[in-house]
Amino acid sequence: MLPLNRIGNSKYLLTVLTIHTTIAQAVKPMSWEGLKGVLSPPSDTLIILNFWATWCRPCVEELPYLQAAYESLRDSIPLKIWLISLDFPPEGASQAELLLKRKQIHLPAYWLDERDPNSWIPELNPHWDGALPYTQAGLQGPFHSTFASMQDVVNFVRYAYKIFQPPAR
Amino acid sequence: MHTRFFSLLLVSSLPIGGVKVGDRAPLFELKNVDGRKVSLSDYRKEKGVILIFTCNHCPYAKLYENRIINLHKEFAPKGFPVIAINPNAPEIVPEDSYENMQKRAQEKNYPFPYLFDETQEVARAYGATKTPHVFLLKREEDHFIVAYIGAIDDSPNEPGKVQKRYVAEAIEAILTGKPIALTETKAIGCSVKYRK
Repeated sequence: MLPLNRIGNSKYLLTVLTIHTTIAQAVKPMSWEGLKGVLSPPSDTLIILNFWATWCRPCVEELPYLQAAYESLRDSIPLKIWLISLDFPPEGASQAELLLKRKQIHLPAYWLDERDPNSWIPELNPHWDGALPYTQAGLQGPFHSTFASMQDVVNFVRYAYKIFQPPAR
Repeated sequence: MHTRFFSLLLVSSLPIGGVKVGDRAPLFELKNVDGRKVSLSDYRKEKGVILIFTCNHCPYAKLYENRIINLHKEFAPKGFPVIAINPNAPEIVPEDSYENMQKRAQEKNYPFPYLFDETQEVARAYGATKTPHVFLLKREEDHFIVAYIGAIDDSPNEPGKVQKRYVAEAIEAILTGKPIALTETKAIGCSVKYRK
């Protein structure tokens, strides 16, 4: 969300961090093309995409597992976990935001501004038929449906990282 | 056998198995909301069946409820009635209990059977992963084959903005003897609440 990795000035960083903690749950609308654009360039960071919705009970149940797994792995793996809300338009983004705030989930969050799943799911993974929740590593990585525990998420991320190949420098 | 299948499913994380387009449709006999049994073979005089795994609690299923009723009203006279099946385990989602199904069917005056897949065997046989999940069945002589799997249309949350009526178009294709343009589509939905 905020380009923290590009900030060199530590004073600036401190200000940004303060803002970051207060607005961390802001859920930004993002199109599929936009999401692809962000994920396509080679990166050293493993980006895990969790597709969810506020009305999906197992999705909401696994959010704390995702956050706890992120916190336990962030120092050992260059990792980001993004929450991609599929809540209904037009209020989808604000519904997602409210829930994340209430549950104190601070992972970066987007709201996918797409109407027809057939316009993007086949490109993300033709084997996924749209049942939520759904988690995938980047645009081409391994995928998983429901997580039953934080350890479940940790295992998935470790596995994804093992086969994730950061670009050659 | 089922336990084994399910543990496989958890490890690989997406369901394996179920039917594919072109497969023979598995037979079933399940209890309807009126207490009577309904079986697929009761439909052997129809041209086909719009089999829909759906439920009470899921917001996507609710969004599609009226459209499912309309599909039945439009296509039952043409030989393609709807059969709705609730595959969810009520101990996981109490809203989807048999009693609540009866209430819902009565409130909305469902013109089609709403069956309870208590053992979840039918949902597993078809490979239903979410609600709503459509399997369009086409009769060939004495059995049914799966002709289409997926979504009802391309606009779940805004019925006014539907551009492609996938199920309706597939049925029209069958009725006019043309190949079905899209035999599989993706739909977002609530995962089927399988027992572990």
